[in-house]
Amino acid sequence: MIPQSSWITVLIVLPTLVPMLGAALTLLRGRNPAFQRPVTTGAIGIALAASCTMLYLTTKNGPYAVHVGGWGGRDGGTSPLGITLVVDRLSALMLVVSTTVLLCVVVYAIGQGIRDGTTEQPVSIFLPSYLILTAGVCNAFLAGDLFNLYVSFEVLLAASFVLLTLGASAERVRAGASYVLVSMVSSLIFLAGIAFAYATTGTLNLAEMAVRLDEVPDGTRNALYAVLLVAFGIKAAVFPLSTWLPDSYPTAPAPVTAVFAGLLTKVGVYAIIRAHSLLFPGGSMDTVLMIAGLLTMLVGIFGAIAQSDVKRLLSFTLVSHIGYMIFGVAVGSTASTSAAIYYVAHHILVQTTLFLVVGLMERQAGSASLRRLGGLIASPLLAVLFLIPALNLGGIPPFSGFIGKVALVEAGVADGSVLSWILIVGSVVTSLLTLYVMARIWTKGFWRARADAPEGNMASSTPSALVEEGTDVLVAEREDVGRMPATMVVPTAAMVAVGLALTVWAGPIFAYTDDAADAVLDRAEYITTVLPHDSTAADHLMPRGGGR
Amino acid sequence: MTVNLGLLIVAGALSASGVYLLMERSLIRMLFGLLLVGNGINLLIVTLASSPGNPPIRGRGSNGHTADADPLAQGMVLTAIVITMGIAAFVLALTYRLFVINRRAAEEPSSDVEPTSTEGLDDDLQDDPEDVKIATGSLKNFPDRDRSDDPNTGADTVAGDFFDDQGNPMTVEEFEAAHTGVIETDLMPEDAELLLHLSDDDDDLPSSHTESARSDLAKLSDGDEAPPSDSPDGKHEGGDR
Repeated sequence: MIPQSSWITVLIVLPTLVPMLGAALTLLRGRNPAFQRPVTTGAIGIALAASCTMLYLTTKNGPYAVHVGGWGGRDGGTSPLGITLVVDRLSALMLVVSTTVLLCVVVYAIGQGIRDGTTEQPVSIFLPSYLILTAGVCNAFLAGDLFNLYVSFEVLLAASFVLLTLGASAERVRAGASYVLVSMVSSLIFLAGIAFAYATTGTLNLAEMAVRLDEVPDGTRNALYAVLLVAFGIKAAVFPLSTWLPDSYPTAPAPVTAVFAGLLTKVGVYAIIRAHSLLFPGGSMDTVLMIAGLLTMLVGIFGAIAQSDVKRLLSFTLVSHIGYMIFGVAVGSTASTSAAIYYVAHHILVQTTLFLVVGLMERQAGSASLRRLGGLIASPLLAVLFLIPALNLGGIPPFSGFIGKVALVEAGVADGSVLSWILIVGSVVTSLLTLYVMARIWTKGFWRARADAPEGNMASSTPSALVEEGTDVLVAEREDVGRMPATMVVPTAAMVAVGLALTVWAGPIFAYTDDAADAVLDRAEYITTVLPHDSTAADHLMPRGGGR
Repeated sequence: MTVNLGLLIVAGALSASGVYLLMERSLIRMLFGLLLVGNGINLLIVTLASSPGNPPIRGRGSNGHTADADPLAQGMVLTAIVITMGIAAFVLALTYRLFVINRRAAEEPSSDVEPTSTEGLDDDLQDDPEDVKIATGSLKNFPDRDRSDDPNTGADTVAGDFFDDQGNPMTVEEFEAAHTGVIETDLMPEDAELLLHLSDDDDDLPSSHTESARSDLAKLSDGDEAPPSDSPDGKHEGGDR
């Protein structure tokens, strides 16, 4: 263990603190977009730089922990009493991917605002809320404490409520109301889980809980795990708890939907990975998770087939592909956890890219409905931008979606149980159906002529999703149809490129996720990092629970 | 440590009433439900954390208690209360906005916003229109899938497509002219074959299916009363999907 110098302490706090400060600054100068924009991009840029540095450091030296406040502890200074922030390989990877996505999307959103000439308009709270969302997401990945996790969930949820109901049009208020209520219910379940966990173990520090939970009777442990799983499952949109997602996401502005789709559900998945490996090893819920994963995959993709609105269709594929990650987590071996981590990174990038492209399509064609779209092939750039992530999501060989799926299937084969074979079949079927759904968007949206679309003549366009409602403009009346603003295309193209990088460097990335999965499943490193002076902690560890 | 059973029962009752209120459609009631459940869980945290004791302030005692209360639990509850309060404020703003929108929709029936429930309260949560569309959708609602039902089998026949955009019947020739080069992705291969064969001017049509289509067509072009399969309001509900 290397000594933890003070600048690392600062580094871990940066991804949360800088966006928070940026939010305060941008809120103060709310009427001045020329000030807001650089501050926002700068703040997220700093968070990205800090995350990349942490990625480098954790790869080299292993995890770091910081006890913000630094109070000694209750029992003679052994256990920390501050707010624990931990960064290990898994958190570092998640941080880098999310801040990359957040940066690209904010450039896209700013580009959209500039392009649409809404210098005053785009609701001066958009960028501050976005920064708070950033802080919440980063903090959730860093939290080393169950209550801190709860608070960061609330921070990002509060920001997401504001972002989802921007402009307060009828449609968004309707969707926002159900979203707010479902999120609050999941938070309350989480809070109840925290109450039970605190009553059971007397601590909420994840590392300390991990040590103490090993001595808790199995029934209590499972009950506790089930409560937490329900809470995280709602956030991650795992099947029986996923119906809220396709109702609420598609109504938001394109960049907002993109960020939500990429990150918010993955925070839930991350929490499930942590809980599954750190707090409750031994796989007591594996069967439940596997069945939930299978149903998530299948029900999600069947939902997608029925949709005609591209944004809703993509929301359903989002739900569907959460199933893959749950599959990886549930199998519980190093290989499967590694594949799940890789898949999370891949899916954050691809799903966000797809939503950004749909934003461009909507802008171009004035509609995101497959009954009105057509002839988008006229813009080859857009076609390429759509086709690459679409094939990627469907799992066509060279792309990262394929690599992730193959890794999951291999891990499932290695597991060899009947249930995991069923899951393998389910995941292949889901993959093919995803491809079918993507081909449907392609043939209807791009390939056929606009005149052949059943409602092709009815399309109207909303110039900016951030503007007040009731500003539909007919395509014929628009000046810039067929031209796409560079400020929106460049971030989208950058996201496509990052998605491709995941393919090109799949080898090193997989080596990294293997390490991350190892560290996550073998809890000793995490626990000794958080509790360095607690010599008894490591001895109390249950034999590792990986591999069913 | 002993746990106060009475307080646990109160926490349970609060949560249960809250969940009952959450089942409502009205946003205000759901907000009250959230607040009740939130308070129930806060009470649960305090109850489960430790037995009652002195206030968590150094040097302050409460009569008869020797131990200090757990300050951490109280800190957590305080945080949770603040968060719940913030969200409650947001939900109130949202409710007001929904109230305004629903009122406006009720006053101007011509506006885009369709009031889904006329007898409901103004702050009622509404169904997702896309969900409703899919749940109630049938072939007759989908302009790209307007193949009518065969009167005998209830299956789709191509005859339903022999209408132009205004709903007037077309002849086979007009239909062919309008559809040259159109690839109909949702047609089964045999149906697509059928379309090609329809204009063949002889009797060796591939199947009886086609004949019924042709007879439907013949009736249409003769200007007779429309066969039931082509009635615009789709009498054959069994064929709807």
